[in-house]
Amino acid sequence: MDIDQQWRGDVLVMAPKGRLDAGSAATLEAALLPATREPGAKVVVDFAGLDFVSSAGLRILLMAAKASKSGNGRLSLAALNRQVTEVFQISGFTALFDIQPSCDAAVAAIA
Amino acid sequence: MHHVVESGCHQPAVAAQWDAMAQQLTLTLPNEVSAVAEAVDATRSFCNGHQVTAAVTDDIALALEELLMNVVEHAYGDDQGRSILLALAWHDDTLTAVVEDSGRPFDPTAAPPPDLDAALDDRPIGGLGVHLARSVVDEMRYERAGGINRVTLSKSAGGHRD
Repeated sequence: MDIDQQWRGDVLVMAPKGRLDAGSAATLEAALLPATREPGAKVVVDFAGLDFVSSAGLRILLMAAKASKSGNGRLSLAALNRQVTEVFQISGFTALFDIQPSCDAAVAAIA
Repeated sequence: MHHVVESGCHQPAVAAQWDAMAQQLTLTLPNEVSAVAEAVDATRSFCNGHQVTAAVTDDIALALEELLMNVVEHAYGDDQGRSILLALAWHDDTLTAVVEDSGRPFDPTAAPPPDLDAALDDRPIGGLGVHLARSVVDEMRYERAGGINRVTLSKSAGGHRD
């Protein structure tokens, strides 16, 4: 899995591409968890290039949310497609995350 | 008329058997994560061959990834080199998938649902896979016979094609 990373001011934007499944979840884990564990870190995960998520991906996102909260950081998710939205709804994840329609909106929400 | 093809030149190998008469694809995979990815890719190709919509294909791929990963992670303990059978068939605009393993008994249709309303601090890591699989298919059945766990699921294409 390719993950683009860029800083927008003090917000780190991560954009994973393709499918976030059992085969690729470890790649996102290695990039996202250290970033969200930084105290006070502001992180956006931009899902615009993400096609598909399974429970292996949800696991990483939940760990990131817990890490962010315990470090008094901010975490926002942007541009979820139809499949990711469906999986979030089935899993009750829509209530656990700040979800924004676009990357720009997500950066603005936590900057 | 059967013929067997080995997919790819790397290990672990997923063995595929295609029965054209029955429109059935049977895969035998080792209980390893990389083999699950191969089997799910083969399932997506099978769906593409039947002009299934992207949305229905994603649901089928999700359900099978979750069920197969559950077998890989839990059915055989630390035993390596055990196998899982996945059979896919297409009839009357409906996909039927059968997953079989010979590991410890586990009925995914009877697993208690996760608490979806728990606050972030109380949500456990994991435990969503079977719930997701059940949620995105039309039907899921479980049988245990002769030391085999057999999960049968079906998903209608819904008449909506790409």
